[in-house]
Amino acid sequence: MTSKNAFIYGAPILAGAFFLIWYVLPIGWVLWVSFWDYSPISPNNAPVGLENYREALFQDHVFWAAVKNTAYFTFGNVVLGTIMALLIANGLSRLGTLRRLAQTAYFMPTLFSIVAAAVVWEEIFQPRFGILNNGLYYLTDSLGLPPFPEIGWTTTTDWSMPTVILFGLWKFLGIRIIILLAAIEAVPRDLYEAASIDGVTKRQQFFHVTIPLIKPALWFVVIAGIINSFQVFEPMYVITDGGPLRSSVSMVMLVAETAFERQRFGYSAAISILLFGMILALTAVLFWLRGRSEER
Amino acid sequence: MDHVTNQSRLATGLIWMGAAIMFFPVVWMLLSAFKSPQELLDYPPRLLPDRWSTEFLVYIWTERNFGRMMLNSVFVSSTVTLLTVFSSAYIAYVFREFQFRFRIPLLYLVIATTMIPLPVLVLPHFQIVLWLGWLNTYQALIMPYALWGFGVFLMYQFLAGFPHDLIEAARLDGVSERQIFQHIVLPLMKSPCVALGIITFLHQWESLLWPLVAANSPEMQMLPAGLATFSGDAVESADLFNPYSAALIAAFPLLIAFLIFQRMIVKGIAMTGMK
Repeated sequence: MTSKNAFIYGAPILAGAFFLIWYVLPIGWVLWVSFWDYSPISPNNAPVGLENYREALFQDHVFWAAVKNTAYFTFGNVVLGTIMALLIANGLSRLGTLRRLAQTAYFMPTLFSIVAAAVVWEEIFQPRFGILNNGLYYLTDSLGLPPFPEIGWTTTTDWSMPTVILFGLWKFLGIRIIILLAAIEAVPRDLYEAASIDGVTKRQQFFHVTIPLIKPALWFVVIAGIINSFQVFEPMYVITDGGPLRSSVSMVMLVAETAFERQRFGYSAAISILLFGMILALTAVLFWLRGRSEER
Repeated sequence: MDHVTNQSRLATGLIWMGAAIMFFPVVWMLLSAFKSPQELLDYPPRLLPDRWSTEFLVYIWTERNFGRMMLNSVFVSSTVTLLTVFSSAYIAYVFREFQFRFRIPLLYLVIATTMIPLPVLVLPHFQIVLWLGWLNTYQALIMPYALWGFGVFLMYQFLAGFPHDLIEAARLDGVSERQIFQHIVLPLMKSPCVALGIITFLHQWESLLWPLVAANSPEMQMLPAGLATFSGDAVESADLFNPYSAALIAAFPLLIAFLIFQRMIVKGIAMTGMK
């Protein structure tokens, strides 16, 4: 084989081998194992048909709690996060002095290692000694308002999910702002100038000039946000450990726990496949919606 | 008119308030990392440390393995980044430039892999690593991520508008295909390479689940997994403990890099959309 051929055929061989070994066969294996009662250290692995799926869908309330929490996180993170990022990006684009300083503050959490950030927030959320409850108490107290109650951010089932969502908003806001701000900056200035000459207000410009022109970036932020949020793991793992009473367990967390703590690979594989299916279905719906919105 | 300026003043005020909220945890970590573990238990909490102490930082860096974890994180993240960037650029270029059997199906396959959520692959990757006897090795941490469908896709997109005359001219001069790629194409692919490099490095540096599963021995641990384990253990053992010091060690390399290369990093993220 000549060196030219080696150079050319190297690429498809490399790509084919890599994705076969680390993606195609593994995903096939997950599907296969999801029909088994399987553990790599157990001597009596046996096929169980659809039993794992039946258990997840009709028996295991923790599975449904994980689905609900994952959907809740996704909803909160994507809806609130996108709206906030859009407003902030728009505000930043109009900021005159010291704009770079404000930008740095908003982008900072993006480059703050997620586990390190979660450890810090876990302390901030701490009910008795944490700075959040103490700060809120101090604030209401000094304003002469009724004292702020001590919220059990990480210690009550009511608050564990909102707490994780708050953390997610803080951590993932910067990346959305970066993308939306880049899109807003790309809108031609003269469109705004023409609009203001015609007497169009700032608010109307935002809705009738900015938003239609940054629609592709908005769709991207929403779709990527939903796909990524469905795979949320780190915030729950560090801040609440899925608790209290499993009230903040996510699907990926359940997949990991089921396999590596309870040694139930087959069941974990079935949950993985269900998660994969949900993400695929959501993605398909979102792409369809995006296609429809572009036709109009 | 007055009402409009008031409104925009309010908007500016809100933007700055938001910026302060975003920034506060970083400041809080920086200040608290230098408090002694005893001082953290003082009530009510204070913003500034009573006495600036680096004892706990030194203690976890030397005695609790954070120095070694930093080395692992830097090594694994850099290796993965280099492998991903160069193999993606190479594969994308060959798929753009040459015709061969199975070109289109292979390309579709590579792009289709980006639909698979990575956490779903942790289970089979663990099984493969177990079969290969790779648990607690660098290759286990590196190999599954040495290439990334999204990276190939990004490079392939970039090459759509590539100036072809240059390549043809070099070919007529008898330059070998490998050298054309190395000396002509690769230098012109600098911007997508930097962008892909930045997001690959970030992904690896942040990665928690796979290192938690594939490398749990103290000398193989990476920073996020080590930090999460350390902070979890500390809560249970009730030792005197300053979580902020540990977080600071894990967070400062990226925070510093961000302050220095902010423009480049933001551009890279905006360009790729960070997946």
